[in-house]
Amino acid sequence: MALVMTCECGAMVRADTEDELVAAVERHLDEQHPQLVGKVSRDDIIAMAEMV
Amino acid sequence: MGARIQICGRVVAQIDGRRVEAGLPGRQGPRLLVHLAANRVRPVGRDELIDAVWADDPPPKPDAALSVLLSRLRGSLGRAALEGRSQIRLALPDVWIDLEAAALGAHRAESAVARGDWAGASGPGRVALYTASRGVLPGVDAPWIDELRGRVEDLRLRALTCIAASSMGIGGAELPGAERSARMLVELSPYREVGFRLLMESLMAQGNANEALRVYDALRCRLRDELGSAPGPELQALHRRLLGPQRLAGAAGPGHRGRGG
Repeated sequence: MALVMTCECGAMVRADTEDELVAAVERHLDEQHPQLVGKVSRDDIIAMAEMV
Repeated sequence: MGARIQICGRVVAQIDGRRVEAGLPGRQGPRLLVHLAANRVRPVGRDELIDAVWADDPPPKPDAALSVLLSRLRGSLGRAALEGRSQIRLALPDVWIDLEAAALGAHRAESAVARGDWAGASGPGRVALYTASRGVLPGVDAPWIDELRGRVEDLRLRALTCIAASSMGIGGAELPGAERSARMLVELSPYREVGFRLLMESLMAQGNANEALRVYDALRCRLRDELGSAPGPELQALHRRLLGPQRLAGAAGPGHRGRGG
C-alpha cells in the first residue's frame, strides 16, 4: 500500500506504510513547520494521505 | 484492522489491510461503491442505484445487472458489507470513509478556531483540505456526482478558511501558509469576504500593507462592477485600519491625487 501526501507548501511525502508516512511527515514538520511539531496527531496524518 | 474506503481521488477499498478495489467490476463498480459510501447514513433504493451507475445508458435488464454488480461488490468487500435487497445500505462494521473523516475534520477545525486553539485546528483542517482537494470520480458526469462534488467543495472552502485563520493565529513560519490558503480561498470563492479579510490580514502580518490595500481595492471594484455593492462593514473597518493616520497623512502630500469611488 502506498500513501501519498502533498503539503500545501509543496512538499510531497510518499511512504509504503503508515509508520513510514507518519515518520516522514513529522520530519517535514520539524524541518519546515516547527510550530506544528507535536500538534498534528498520528490519526490525522494518516487521514490526510491518499492511498494510491 | 477494519475497512477503509477512499472515494475522493482514486477509489480504494481496503479490508483488514488488504486492497480489494481491483475486484470492483469495470467502471460501474467504483461508481456503485462511491454512491453507497457517500450515502451510508440511509438505505438507497434500487432505482437510485441503477441511475447512479448507468445514468442515461442503462443495460437492457437494469435490475438484473444491478444484482450482478451488488453480488460482485459483496464478493470484494465481504458478504455482510451490504444489507437489504430493495433498499440497500453499506453496512461494513468499523469502516473509515475518507469523506466522513473530511467532514469531521472540517467540524473539528471550525470548533478549534472558534475557541482560539490555532494549533488544534491544523491537523483536522488539513484532513478536510487534502481529502476534498482530490475531487470525486474525475471525468464522470451525473447529477448525483455534481451534488457530491458540491459537498466536497464546501468542505474544501471551510477547510481553507480554518487553515488560513489558524496559520494566522500561529504566526511566524506559518504566515506564508495563511496567505497561500487565503489566496486559494479567494480564487475559489471570489465573493466570500472572509477570504479577502484573511488574505489582507496575512499580508499585513507579513509587513505587506500596500499589497493588502491592493487586495481590498480589487474586491471593491469587483463588487461595484459586478454586483453593484460594496465590501461589508468588517472589511471596510479593516481597510480604514490599514490606511491609518500615518498613511493618510503621507498620501495627502503635494502632488497626490486621491482615488474616487
